[in-house]
Amino acid sequence: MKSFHLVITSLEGAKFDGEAESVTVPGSAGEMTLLADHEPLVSTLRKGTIMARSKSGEQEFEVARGVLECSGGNVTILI
Amino acid sequence: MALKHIKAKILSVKKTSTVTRAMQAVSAVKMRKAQERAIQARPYAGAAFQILRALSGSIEVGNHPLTKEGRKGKVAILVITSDKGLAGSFNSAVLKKVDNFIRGRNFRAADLEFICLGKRGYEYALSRGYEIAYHRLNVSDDIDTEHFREITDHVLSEYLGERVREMYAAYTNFKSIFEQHAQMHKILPLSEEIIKHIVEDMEFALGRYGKELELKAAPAYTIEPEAGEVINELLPILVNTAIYHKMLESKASEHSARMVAMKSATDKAKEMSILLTRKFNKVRQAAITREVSEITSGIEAMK
Repeated sequence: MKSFHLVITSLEGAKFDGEAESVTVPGSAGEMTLLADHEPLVSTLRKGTIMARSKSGEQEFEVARGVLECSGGNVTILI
Repeated sequence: MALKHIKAKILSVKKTSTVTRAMQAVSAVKMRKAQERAIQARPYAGAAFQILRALSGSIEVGNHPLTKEGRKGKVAILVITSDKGLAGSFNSAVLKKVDNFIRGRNFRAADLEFICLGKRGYEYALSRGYEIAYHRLNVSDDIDTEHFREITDHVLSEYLGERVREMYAAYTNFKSIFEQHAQMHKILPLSEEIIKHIVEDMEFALGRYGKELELKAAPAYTIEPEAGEVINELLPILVNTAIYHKMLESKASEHSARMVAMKSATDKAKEMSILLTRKFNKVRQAAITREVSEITSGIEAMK
């Protein structure tokens, strides 16, 4: 499966920084899953769980609020 | 002075120097930690700035309450100081900056309100009878970001409550262990310049450590749920980052100022203990000489 570069970062540093195959986020307009080559997107997040899937398995991150940005094959999530 | 007294004094000076040396070591560690945390926050600030820049093409950022110029109301001053003393001129430098600012602009007490992070700034505002809108003492060195956001939310609600027209931050900029500068910057309303300054400030301070912040060209985004809401989320993130960073800079400065102050205290204690030991030896020698001369004169008398 095609992968993309995912960065999940907070003020305390990066929580996740590496290749992922998909990421599911609690967008404020509803839950969504992003795959590689997603169109450029900016979205706010609401309280929930971010699920990042990569070759090495799944990882979950709690989020209270945040912003997601996707462009040029990279996804950046500020939590 | 009697021998016993000098001995007691030498002992107490030595004890003091042990304490100051320990404080010096502790401050060094704390300073490094504050620096590290500031570095860790950097990619976050860069990403937030990047998103904002990308969006500013497609939507009007200037109409948000946090960016709008020409508001009415008071001027708020956010003062970041330490809670504890023994840090040389660290706090007085910041408070002097505030004093000069107020005098330079001819503000009366009624024009101002204070937001204080740290006890020294709070006591300053209190003793001069300024209005204190919000204060927070004993902010932990390793406060987690969620709790810090609560502080920022208080600051923001103070601003968004329409009672404040501008907000300035007084803090200490960390250059190196021996060089810290008290500074005063406008932080609200957010202008393009201020936002740039926030990011550059972090970059400048940390330029030697982190990797370069690169700004990508902005693609045409799909924005969910809508631009206004994204801006509503993003601008507070930038303000939060700015205040957080200023706090970390101040923390690093505080610890390095204390470290230097404790170093000179330790040196002074060492010097004092040498002088006291010398005095102790002199007095002891005098006592011995006196005793010897007493004995010899006793022997002479018996002859």
